[in-house]
Amino acid sequence: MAPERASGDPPEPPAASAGRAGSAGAARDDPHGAARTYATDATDATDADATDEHCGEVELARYRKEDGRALILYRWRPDGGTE
Amino acid sequence: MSELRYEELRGEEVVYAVDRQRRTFLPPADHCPLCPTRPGGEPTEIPFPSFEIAVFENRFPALQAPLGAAEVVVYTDVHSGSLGTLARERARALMWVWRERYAELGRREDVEYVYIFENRGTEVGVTLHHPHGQIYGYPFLPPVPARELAADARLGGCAVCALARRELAEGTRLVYENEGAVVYVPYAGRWAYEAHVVMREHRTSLLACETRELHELADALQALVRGYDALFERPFPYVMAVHQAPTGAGRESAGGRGEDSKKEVPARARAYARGAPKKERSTATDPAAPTGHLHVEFYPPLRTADKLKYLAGSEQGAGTFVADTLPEESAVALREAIARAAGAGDGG
Repeated sequence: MAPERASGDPPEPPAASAGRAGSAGAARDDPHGAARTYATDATDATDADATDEHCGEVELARYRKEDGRALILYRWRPDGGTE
Repeated sequence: MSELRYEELRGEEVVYAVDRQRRTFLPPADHCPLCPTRPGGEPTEIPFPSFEIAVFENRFPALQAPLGAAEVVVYTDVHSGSLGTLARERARALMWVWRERYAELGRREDVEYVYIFENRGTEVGVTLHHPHGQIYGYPFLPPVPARELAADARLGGCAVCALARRELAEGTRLVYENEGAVVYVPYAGRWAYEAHVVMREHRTSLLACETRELHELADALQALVRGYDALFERPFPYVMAVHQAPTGAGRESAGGRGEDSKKEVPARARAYARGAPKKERSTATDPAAPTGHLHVEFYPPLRTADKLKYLAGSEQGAGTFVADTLPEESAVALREAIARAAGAGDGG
């Protein structure tokens, strides 16, 4: 159920916290109509190794959500490379 | 799927996005779809336990491919706060994120204008409190940036450059400046505490900025937002609008054509591309062409600590803003508030 990486650009995932190994579990009823796209296991989505993509002082990781929408995570890496 | 209809009397597009009626509306913090997905917690839009900045395609888009784009930019994984309370490095990172999105969306055939913005506060219709902004990729050039380009043509050069020079010369409406950016209450601002953050040098877009200038832009934005919050000692609602060069005919200035430009352009997008008031000259190759000038406009609806300015008869029906305050007086108050906020920051 984890989001798939967008093809061709699967860089390193975001920094994980101490709780990284846990599973997010299934979505429950959402009385507020909030965006509940997937029940996900965040661990699966963060363990693949890949090439980083840089844009100036940030690096980015691209993912594809279960419903096809794009998700990009950015990290501040001022010395990480150039465009 | 949204529908565009052209309103002939006003000569402008209207976007019908009826699915947005279902969008999340002011959920409690523990149901925030922009928070990270905590281990064992409820899944959100971002299925990771932490992140720095996230961008994703809006689940309830006003615009979407093959006729534009709508993205959400989440500034932080912390539910509370604002652009002003972000760490300095995070705000600077955000400038790079904006830059990257401007470049990527600007390369798309169905995006004529990349518009980065933020709505802050329920007073301007915010439905999620988590610090975030949005990006729309319009398949046409919207009226406000089109008017700015028309001002370039009318004044015979960059209108923003001319106005910034005037503000710097007069000084009475300046509220903040650093090496890269100046902030002022515009001479004919409409909102009581309207402010424009303008790049000091002529920069058509974030892509034209040096790293130093991106940092200085971030510093200026944060100084202004902190000043806003200090003005009435309350979170200050606003609409923040980033204006840059269009990415249509001047798309070379948006980072060049990418591989995706080879894809088939939908008939509807082609039709709009034909009908839109696209620039005929490349901003990258013709210095005389109207280009736009990177600046960020803030429209705060408060005219006092507890009174809102409403768009009523004159504003809506005649298109003429009636202001309740003088820009010079607002600038004094805002300048002092920015200084207070900076002093509090130094002390804290």
